[in-house]
Amino acid sequence: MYFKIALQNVRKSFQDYFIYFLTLAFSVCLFFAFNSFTEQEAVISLSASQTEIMQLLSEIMGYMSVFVAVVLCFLIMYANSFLVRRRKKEFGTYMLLGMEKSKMARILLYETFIIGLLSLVVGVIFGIALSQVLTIATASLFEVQLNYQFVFSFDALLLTILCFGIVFLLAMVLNVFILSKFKLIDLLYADRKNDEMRIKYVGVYVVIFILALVCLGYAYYLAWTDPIQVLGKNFAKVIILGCVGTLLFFLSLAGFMLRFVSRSKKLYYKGLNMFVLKEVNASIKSNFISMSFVCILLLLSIGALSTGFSLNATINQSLKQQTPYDLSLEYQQYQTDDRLDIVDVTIPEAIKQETSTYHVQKQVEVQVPVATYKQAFQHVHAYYEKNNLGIIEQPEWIGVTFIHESDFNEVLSDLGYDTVDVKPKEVIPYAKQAQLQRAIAKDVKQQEPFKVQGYTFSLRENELPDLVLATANTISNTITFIVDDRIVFKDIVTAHQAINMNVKDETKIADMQAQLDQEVSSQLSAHEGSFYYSLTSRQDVMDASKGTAVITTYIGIYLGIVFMLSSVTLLALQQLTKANDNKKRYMILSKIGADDKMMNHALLKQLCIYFFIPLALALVHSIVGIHFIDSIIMSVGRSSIVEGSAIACGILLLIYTSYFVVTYVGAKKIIKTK
Amino acid sequence: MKEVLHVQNIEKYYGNKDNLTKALDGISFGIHEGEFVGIMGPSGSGKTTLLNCVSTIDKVTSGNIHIDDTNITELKKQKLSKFRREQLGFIFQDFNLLDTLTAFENIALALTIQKVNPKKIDAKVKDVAKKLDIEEVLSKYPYQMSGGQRQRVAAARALVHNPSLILADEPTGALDSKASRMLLESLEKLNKAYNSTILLVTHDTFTASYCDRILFIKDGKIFNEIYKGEQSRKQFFDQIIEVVTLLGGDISNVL
Repeated sequence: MYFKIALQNVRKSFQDYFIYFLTLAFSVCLFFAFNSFTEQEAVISLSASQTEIMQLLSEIMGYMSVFVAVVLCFLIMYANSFLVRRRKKEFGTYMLLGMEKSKMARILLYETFIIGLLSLVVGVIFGIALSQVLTIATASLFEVQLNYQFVFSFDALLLTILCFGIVFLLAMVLNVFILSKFKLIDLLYADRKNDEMRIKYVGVYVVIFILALVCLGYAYYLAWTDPIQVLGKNFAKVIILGCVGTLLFFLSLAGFMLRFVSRSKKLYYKGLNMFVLKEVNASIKSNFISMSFVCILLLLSIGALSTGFSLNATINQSLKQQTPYDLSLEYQQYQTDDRLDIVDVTIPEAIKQETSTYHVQKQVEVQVPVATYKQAFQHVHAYYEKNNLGIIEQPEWIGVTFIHESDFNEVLSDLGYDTVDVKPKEVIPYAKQAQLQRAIAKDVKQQEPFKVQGYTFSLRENELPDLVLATANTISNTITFIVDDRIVFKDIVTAHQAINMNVKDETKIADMQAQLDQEVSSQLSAHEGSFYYSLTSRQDVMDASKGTAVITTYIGIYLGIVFMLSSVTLLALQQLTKANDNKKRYMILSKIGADDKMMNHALLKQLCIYFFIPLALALVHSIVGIHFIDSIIMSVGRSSIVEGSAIACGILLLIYTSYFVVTYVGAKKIIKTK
Repeated sequence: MKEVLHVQNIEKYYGNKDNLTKALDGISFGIHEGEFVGIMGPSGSGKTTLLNCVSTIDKVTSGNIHIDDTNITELKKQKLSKFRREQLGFIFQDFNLLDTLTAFENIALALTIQKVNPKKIDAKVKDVAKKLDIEEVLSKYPYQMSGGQRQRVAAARALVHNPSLILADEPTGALDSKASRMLLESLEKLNKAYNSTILLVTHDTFTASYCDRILFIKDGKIFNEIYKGEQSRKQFFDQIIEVVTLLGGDISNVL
């Protein structure tokens, strides 16, 4: 019989249960899909290193899922206690009829069970669908062939059931606890209780609001103008300023709006505006913390999602630039005992035969007095000093790297660009990093002569395309100076050579790499200590970057959606609770003649304030945040986070708006019931 | 004198063919402009149903209700809301003031709902506040006011848009005797000095004694009707007591 009552209750109050159900099903779906990565290996043909990445990914997802499970657990408990509290009167009736608390707990237990089972089933079904999408996504992220087959992870299913089983169990315990604290009188008169209203002088809020804007403005200013500095020193300051600013913003928002709208009689005395504003103002005190919390969660969500969606594109873009050749052997010789004898590595003819392109690029580093360097490169020097880039090891000397024009031109023509002609008295400062490029541009504009070892160069603007001189895992953050071939330097401190090769038969690259590795290490063994070399193939760079890309993409999306889900559920439940408390007020409105249309309008306005102001602030925050991340990524390469954040915002708006609509419909129903 | 309310043979049935409850069973009466009419009757007599039908919250099964020459039984839902907020003013037992709004705003809300020109609102609210002696509480919130003040604010809200008819449902139900007296004196003043038409439903004999005329209802029918005429309030009070005693039951009920 109790099961029957429970079933009926669920069916009757489906509207109430809908948000709960939606959140549960959504959580289950995400949890299941993001835990079934191990099964994907079967259908995607992955290389050994990619398989390793997938295993690492599954492992990381496992740890993430613990965190996510805890977050979801709190969310579900919150939703659950909302539902129980909402039905106070119903339980009061049961108690009045003499039902024991244990029996009531049983009904509640059945209800939780029914909803839990239902959402588990629906969630897993959608989860299976989502994991198919994820499989296709993984294949395209790795840029490999997909032999599509239906993917179903039994382990993930077990994990999901186990995890949510525990959550439901906790929810049931919580329900019993809430029930045991109920008193009959409170239950029956739940509706009658009036909140004590205390409304303070509004003027204070204007001051707080301005303070909030100052806090936020200063944090924005710091993060916008000087991201590198912030990352190093002011990070905590910016975060604290941002949080405090957000809190103050929501604390004072309603008061501030009230202050200004009430000035305009036309707006204040229009329809139910007065009611809506006062309503929001009255409840803001109990809501501003959660609104700030929602706003910050949304910011995290946008950040995580944008990074997730853009990192792959960012890496793909820089990958093309980072790998100009199939295989690059780079070696550096350092000065020892104030001497440097440049030793050339000889590459066996057999290997040379296999290549279609074989070019050697030489660079040399000489020392220039800091005073001289600063004269020509005032901005660059300042940039180095500010960022503690470790370029200046000695106080008086600074190392400067030169490359001959013909060496540079070889790379240019290999990549299909026009070659460059450097005049004997010119030098082109070439750098890859965006911020360094800006500093250089400023120095070039000033046109101070650059004096090195008796030569005097004028600075020429860098109009060359972005490129690197060899295939390598890292991108250099120094400047290479391109000079005429006839310029010869003495007192070289470091010699840098890159042997760049394109191979005729791609399948032989791995063999060649192994062969070369052996050859070079044996040749250089005599000069140990003064030599450093690296041998990098395009595949090496791709594997390393792809791994980071895939893992970051998934973590970003997973966490982003969970954060968003949490914030939007929190909001939705809070607003439904509020609608319940507001029922009486809307009834009064109806009694004094407000029609349905007017009241719906007022409700909509109220909900819009609660839903879209945190979102709007989060969007403003994230514009600054994304600019910040963008500049950080820019300092190591190109970024495409802006495109990624467009997708992120799209997804966010979709889920957000659908929760908004569900909440509006639910709240509308609540205020209409008598 | 003009007839503000004309109720013509209205019936309100609940239930189905086999089990019919006649909540209102052929009631007819009229109220002229500037009259202060009370409706009394025991629980279940149909007085609340009558008030609900007059106030357009409920629909009659048959019969006609005319308010200011409009037959409200023929109005559509959309028009009903409009009619209700423009032609009627309500005073409720539990005040029904919004606790988030000041007294001034509570009164102004009745006007903003009717989309009154914002510029005129200030003057109208102050005017009605003066009539009800609540000027000093206008900037206060309901929780800062006494029960009597709240009910007078509610009365001001009912009155501010100059309705054709003010409907009061047990307005003194939640007030102590002193506050009741003050409210009733205010209503009386409105009626006498400003010629407002008031229809009041009550249990309370003392409250009823402020009216000009009282309709007694029992089992959905008009049982009796008495006029104050030239009597003092004390005499009228005694007369009401007599009828209430009669209404409480006849001999057959005792036996």
